[in-house]
Amino acid sequence: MNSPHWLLIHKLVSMSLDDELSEAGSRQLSELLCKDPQARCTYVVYLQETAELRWLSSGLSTGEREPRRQAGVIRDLRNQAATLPFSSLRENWLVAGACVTCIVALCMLMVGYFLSNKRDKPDFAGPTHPLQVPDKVVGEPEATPPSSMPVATLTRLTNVIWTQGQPAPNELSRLRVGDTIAFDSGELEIVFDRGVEFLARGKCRFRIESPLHLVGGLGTFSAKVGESGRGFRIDTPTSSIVDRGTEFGVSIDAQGQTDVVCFQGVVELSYGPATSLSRSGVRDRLYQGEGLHIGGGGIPIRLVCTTASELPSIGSLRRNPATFSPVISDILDSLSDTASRKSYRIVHGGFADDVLAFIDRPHQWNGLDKSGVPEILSGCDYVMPFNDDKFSEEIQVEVDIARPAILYVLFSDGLDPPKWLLDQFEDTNVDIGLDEGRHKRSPTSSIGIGPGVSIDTIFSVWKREVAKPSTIVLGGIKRPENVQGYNMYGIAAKPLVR
Amino acid sequence: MSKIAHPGPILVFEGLPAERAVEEFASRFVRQEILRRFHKQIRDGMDDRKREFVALLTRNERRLYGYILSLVPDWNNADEILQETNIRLWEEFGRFEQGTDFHAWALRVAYYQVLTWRKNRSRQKLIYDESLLEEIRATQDEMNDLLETRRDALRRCLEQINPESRRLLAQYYGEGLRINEIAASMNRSVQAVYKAVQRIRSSLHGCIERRLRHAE
Repeated sequence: MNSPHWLLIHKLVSMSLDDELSEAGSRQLSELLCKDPQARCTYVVYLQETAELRWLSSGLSTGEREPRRQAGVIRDLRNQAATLPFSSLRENWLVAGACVTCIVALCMLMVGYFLSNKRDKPDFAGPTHPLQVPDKVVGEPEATPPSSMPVATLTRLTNVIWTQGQPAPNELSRLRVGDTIAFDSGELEIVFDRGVEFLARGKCRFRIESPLHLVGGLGTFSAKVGESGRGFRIDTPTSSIVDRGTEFGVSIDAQGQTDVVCFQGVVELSYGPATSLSRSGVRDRLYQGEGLHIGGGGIPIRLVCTTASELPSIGSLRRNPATFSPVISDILDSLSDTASRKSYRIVHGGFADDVLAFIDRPHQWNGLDKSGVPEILSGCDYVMPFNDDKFSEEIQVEVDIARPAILYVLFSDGLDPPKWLLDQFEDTNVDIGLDEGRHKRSPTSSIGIGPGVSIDTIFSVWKREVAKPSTIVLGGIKRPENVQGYNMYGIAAKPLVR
Repeated sequence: MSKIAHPGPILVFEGLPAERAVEEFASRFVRQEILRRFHKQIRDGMDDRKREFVALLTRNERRLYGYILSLVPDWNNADEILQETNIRLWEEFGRFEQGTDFHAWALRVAYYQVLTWRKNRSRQKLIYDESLLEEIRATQDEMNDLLETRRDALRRCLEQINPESRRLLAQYYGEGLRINEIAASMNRSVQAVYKAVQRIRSSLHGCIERRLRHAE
């Protein structure tokens, strides 16, 4: 079952269960469930799982399926009730507990219990009271300096192989000022107490300098910064990047060269030769969609293209990336480095409903109806170009195709197809929709969730075969007359199967 | 009404015989007229019909709870409605025909208990209107078999998660603690705990999906 709404439902329902859901959140949840049958399915599944977790959780805290504490009660209950036709003997303790519940429920109500302001902690929650602060944080290194301050929590480890001789903290362990993290492969996620989500991937080495400051020596990092985390900073051998809201990525290679991409918002940047960085770094800014490569000498050049798999944003990780060899390997354009710092994004194998269409807009691709994106596009590699490049009529975009493929151009039905499209491609007669979000030219637009929802513009899918690894050159769009708003084209590709 | 952390419908009084457990609890939380009625029945002993009811309710109470929670996503309210439903099911059990679908009958009773509860709570924040309640109810009915399969898969998947994650789930779902309370007890930030719960739930969800796909 596809679950495009799972994350939103998890968030809203968790807030509801925590009694934290606002009126707006309530409305959002109700509207989602009213309008979307698939969301209702996801919601029902989620709540049933939640209820089951609650039912089972009494045994989870002790790690036992039949807590010994219940043995006496179970024995007495079974003696009184004689043989009962239990449906499953594997959860005897739970069924027996439920039988006690049934007897109690038959006899009385818990009304007075719910009106009580006191919280009663049942003994069977475990030998350690749940509110007891642990004496020792799991995974905490033995030699932590007493003055070091805990500033973050390691929330996820995925296939991490720690560098030999370096600390190997566990999930949910606390990280402190002065901690060095080094691993040879895998991925980890850290949440800073000041509201920064931080991801490190690949061969990595970095040190925590303060609650909002890291020094990176090697690796790929992504950071998503909330309001309280503004000013979060990552230093590299040749640069210093400070977030001014909200999300950026950094990649440092073994020579200290640094790639920086601003995924959302703005970052401030200082760069220079490693030896002089601390004295007189050049101050600069990167805006959403812009990227720079800073070489060992501290000289920046435009970072024309990044891939979501090599330099992921936090949001892109919520989809499971496909692991196959890429079809689209690189993108170049004819814009000079001095004219542009825009950085294309290539997402391998990720084309689906609700994916972002452009680097510089919140717009999303969506199928025209509930069946979702057209089958021919599902799972394709795709490129996020710049919508503003629609104004560069003479632009040439070079798409490197790494293996035999079908290359698609998604072109707006509101525009006349240009000659380069008519000459090289054919119209498949398949359509796809663009769900346009809010931007300065359209401040009231909003994004829907799921296919067939909130479609603003229809695009035609054009295709051509690419028989061998090649570079295909796409052109620009002639500005239409008497049209208020229009969009750049999209690019996608999938392997050619004969 | 402040949120009360409690273990939900499952209550155990360690080492007490069942009758004594009943009295102990009754002395604290009682609707007197119900207590008098059912105490008489307890004193009369459990006959086959009662055993049958206990067995049927035991088999179905978890699904019933999930059903109610989907209509009223609030721990305290869902617990209260479940208790009311259990009482109502017992009171009406004489009209239940042996051999027919207890689960379907119980769901209908629960649905009307939800509607009754709503009439007294119109100013609550999260109130789905009746048409949405009906849509959710219909969705539950359509997915009944799938939900049972998913429940089995969830239990298998829970066996694979690490002890720290299980402890966190126990605190959040079993004891009904809020995220900020868990964060304070663990000396973690609220966001870190929230992310951890999200990760565990997402991981369980993915595990269930994979199990279902392999089973196809």
